[in-house]
Amino acid sequence: MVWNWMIALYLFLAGMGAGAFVLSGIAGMAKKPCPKIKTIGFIAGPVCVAVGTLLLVVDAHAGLMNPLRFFYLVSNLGSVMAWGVIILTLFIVVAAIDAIIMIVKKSTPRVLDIIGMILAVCVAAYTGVLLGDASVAFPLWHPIILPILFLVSAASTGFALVMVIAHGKAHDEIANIGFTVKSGMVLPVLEALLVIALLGTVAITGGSAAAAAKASVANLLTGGYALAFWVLFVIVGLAFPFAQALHKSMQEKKSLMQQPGLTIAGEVGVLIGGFMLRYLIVMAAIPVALG
Amino acid sequence: MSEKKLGMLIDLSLCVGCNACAVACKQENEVPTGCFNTWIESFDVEADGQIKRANIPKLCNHCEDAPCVKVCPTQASHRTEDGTIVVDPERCIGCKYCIAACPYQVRYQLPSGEVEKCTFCEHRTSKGMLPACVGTCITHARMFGDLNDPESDISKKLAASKTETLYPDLGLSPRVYYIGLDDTLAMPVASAVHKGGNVLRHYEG
Amino acid sequence: MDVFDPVLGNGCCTPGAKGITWHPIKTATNGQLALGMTRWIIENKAYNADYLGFTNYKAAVAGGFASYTGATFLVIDDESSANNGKLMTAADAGLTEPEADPAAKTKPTYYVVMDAEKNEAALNTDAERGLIDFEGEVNGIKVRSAFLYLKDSAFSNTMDEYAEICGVPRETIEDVAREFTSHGVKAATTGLGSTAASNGVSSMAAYTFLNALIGSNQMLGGMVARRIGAATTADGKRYKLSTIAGKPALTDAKNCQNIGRTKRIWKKTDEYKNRVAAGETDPKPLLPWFSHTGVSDNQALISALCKYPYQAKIVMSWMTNTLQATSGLLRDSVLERMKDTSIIPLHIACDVVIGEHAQYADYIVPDTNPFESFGVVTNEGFFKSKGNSVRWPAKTPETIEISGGRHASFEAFCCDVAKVCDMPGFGDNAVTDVDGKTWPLNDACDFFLKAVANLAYDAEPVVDVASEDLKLQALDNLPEAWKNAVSEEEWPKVLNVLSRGGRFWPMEDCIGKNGAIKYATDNLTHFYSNRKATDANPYTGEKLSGTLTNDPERFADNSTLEDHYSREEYPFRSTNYKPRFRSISFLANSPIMRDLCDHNYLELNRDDAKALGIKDGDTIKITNPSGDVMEGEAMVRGGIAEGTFGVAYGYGHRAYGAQDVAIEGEETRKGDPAIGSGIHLQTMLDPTISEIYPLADPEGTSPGRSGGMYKIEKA
Repeated sequence: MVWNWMIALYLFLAGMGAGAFVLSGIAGMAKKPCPKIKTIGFIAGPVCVAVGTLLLVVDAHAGLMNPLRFFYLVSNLGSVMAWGVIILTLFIVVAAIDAIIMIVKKSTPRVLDIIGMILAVCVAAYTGVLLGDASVAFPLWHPIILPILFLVSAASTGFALVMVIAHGKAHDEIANIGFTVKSGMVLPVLEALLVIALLGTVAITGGSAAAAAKASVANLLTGGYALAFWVLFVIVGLAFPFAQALHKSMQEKKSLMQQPGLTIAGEVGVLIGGFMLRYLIVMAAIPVALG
Repeated sequence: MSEKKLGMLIDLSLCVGCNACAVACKQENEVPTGCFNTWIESFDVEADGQIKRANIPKLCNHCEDAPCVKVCPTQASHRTEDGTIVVDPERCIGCKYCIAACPYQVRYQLPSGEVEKCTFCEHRTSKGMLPACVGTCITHARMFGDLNDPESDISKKLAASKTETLYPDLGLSPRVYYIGLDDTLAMPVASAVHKGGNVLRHYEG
Repeated sequence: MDVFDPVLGNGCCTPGAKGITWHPIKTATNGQLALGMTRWIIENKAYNADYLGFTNYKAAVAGGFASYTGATFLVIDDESSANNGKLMTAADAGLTEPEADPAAKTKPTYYVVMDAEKNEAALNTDAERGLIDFEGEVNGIKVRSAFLYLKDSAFSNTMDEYAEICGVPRETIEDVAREFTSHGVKAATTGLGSTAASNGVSSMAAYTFLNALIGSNQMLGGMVARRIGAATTADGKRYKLSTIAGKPALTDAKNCQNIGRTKRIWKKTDEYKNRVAAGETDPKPLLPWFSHTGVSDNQALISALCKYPYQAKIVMSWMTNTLQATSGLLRDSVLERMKDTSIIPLHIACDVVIGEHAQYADYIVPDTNPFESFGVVTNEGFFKSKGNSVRWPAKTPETIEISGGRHASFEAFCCDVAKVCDMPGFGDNAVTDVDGKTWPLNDACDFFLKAVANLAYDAEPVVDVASEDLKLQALDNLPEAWKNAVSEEEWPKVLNVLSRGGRFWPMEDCIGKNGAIKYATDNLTHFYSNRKATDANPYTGEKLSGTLTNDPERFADNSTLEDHYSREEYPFRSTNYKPRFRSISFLANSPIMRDLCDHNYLELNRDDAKALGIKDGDTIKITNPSGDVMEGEAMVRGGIAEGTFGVAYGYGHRAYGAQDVAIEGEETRKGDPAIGSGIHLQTMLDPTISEIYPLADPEGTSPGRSGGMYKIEKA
């Protein structure tokens, strides 16, 4: 495989950090204020993305040994990765500034929040476009469906991360962002549909890439990665969190609380599933030459 | 247009799978263990009720529309004036995006982290010599030269032959042409596919 | 082009190559294929009757050919004759041979033919055309033309039977025979490696006879000799490298017996005579004797291991790994004997690596490798023109420095030992040039540069080396000892040859008159071999046939393999071939070669594999009747004939770097198991011989690397 767990982890952290920042931005604009949640997300966002970027740097071994070469990174604006460097940098800077302002002043200029959120969406989408631009070699990385899928997953994992921390640090504000229960049901379904769309579209790829495309899909569904795909991604990462969110929603209609343990388990499931999605897409993909 | 456009033509009917080219390249370019700039894929095929042994030399195709050049953030991966695609080892950070973008999977990473591949022996061709693999080919299956010069041997043979490239539908315009490729690939495979002498793909029977 | 081979190699049978066909054939049945083709050829009168009728070289050349055959020679087929079964001689026929030429070194051999024009018996040199199908009497003795023996043999089986034996469809045999005989003299057949079976001699005969049936020898477009070169390491234009004053006159015929038991009929050995004299009726030898084969290194080693026919007090091996190259010998029982100084008191090896054979030596003399040594050789491959390649050291040897500014090498070793032993031909005044001057021989350069001088002066001397070449190739910076090996006048011409890596005459030079090759010499293909016919198997007394026969694989006493072991239990034969990514003994220590190919495979036909439940990549076990087991990775492919498994040589090393080496005063050098990867073919032992004796050709000594008996199962 070209890339390994390190890049999968970077993709996961970048998406999750972006999603966390967006949720916090929304929480900050909610009718009932959620300053603690906003702070959590504003910190989690740049921290996750920065850690992910650090992983990128470590993975680029030649650059790590010759760090001055990293200055060449924006030489080719035809490369999605060059754009990624720009987007990641801008996001980390803007988000970090926003976070610091939030911590110090307890409120941030809305314009900055919106810029940050737009950059966050770009970060999340970029991770999919990065792989998608190499789809001529790896047909599994569909250039349109994959970015959308990663975007949805970024929202899902970002939200879950913030919620998990909020359970401890901002429990009282959770009720103010009740839409997260709805999103907890909608996002897994959306993700599932996108995964089906991805695998279905890839499976019918024609031409020279046909064999590799079919083999990639088979790799996930019935091959070496099937166990991880069905158990860790589909069940733990999608089905279980969906059920948990559905249950929570039904409980709330009856004005009941869901057991916090169950809620947290659901969110952890999303995180596991989110990482597995990146890992599986990176590892199970088979190039045209080996199809 | 007086610029050179270097390319290679491989006549598959002449390749006997001796692998001298793979060895010559290893020695010429000091390619690390486990990595190959060029290699031969050998396998039995069924042809008109007979069994034959096919040998397909593979290498970087130095595509005119190379995805590896497009995706490289530092421009380490770039095209020279004669169309050869090379990696500037002083700019490469080893992000491996180019490896991920190559459908032919001809790139590999050195122990120091930089990415390398076949350079058409640019250090030789820039001095008017042939690439090591071409020079050593015992049957002259490989031909090399300026595709922009209609009087060059390769241009003349290209004009006179039916040729194909690998994965033409990907739209990358490779500069490595083959005689007999489609015919060979259409034949049912009757053994494991060997890369050199190691199994690349087992025979499912 | 038609290729018959149990294994389809990476070669010319590519999908795009037009008109080149691979035909699977059962291993060790080449002779039977040739007989099948011969039968069709004779039945359809497709042989070149004109050519076969010529009785001597001169007549054949006048008739437009460049060789002749013994098809017309008469063979005595008369039990009442003392010479029954031999080619008729002048004396038998009551004819007179011409006066011997006093200047000639050897006396020519004369044969008797039935003159086709005069219808009477004549010496072959006194007629031009003879009858190839004569049966009758000459001088009261019943005789037959030699051609009839091949004909009888070909007709002893039907075409269908040949097809069954060879596993080749009858139509294929007929089509190939038709094609082969449809191009006049412009067709040829030859083979490589096919003689390494216990019926290998018939494989060789197959090519010889087929080419002879169409008159192809030495005709352009036909069967042309290769390795044509100048006299270089022999008595050449400048130096007489073969003439050694005081050289002992040792010949196999007169006064010595090579240890490999070749070039002598058992009944003519001293041992046989002595044992009969001592009262034994019909004594049998411990190991087989081979009457019509040259030297054999595998038989020599077996002899040394068995101290028969005599003990080898000193075994010297140079640049050889006979132990590993003789499949069947690399077994514990043999290795024990290699180590036993009561069997081999002194073993000296001269080599660049410690291989399987050399590791048992008492002394290892370092040798130079190909980049550090000289060589003057003819050209390999199917190259029909004249030329010699020259190898000269590209670097200073890394072996130890010895006296006289030399480096250790086989050549230096020979010179020093010879001088200590006071042998002629070494040291001072060892070599004589054509002017009568003598020269010393103390090192490789003393010998080889003189050979290069011979080459440089052959036919027309080459010009002196150009000064640009001197500089470009650093030929102006060679050791003094090289320059001193030849004369001042010769040196610039020697340098010219070195700068070209040899001397190669233009291809057009090989074109002779009337479609023959210019380098043609007197060339005779016998249709009846006296040597074979006058020999008998040393164990059974069974007479051999003088012609090509339907010859199954046999043990030393001529019994077939099936006489001893069950084909049902051991249905497979091995097909051993030279590897692509190794050599027979070399290259397992090359990281590049190992990178290209980690190990060899046991290659199986698809249908055979299916029947055994074996899939490509499975680990399988192959056992021979002697109990040797080989385990390795199966390669299931269409390119293997039924009933055999393909296995490349040169893998499964036990030494050569695979083993740990303990050196006194140093830490143990760890072996690299990667060097030992793969399978070493282990052939069965001959059950008819009480000593350790791997399956080998009872006529030709070749180890039975191909053929034999094996069973295959999943591991």
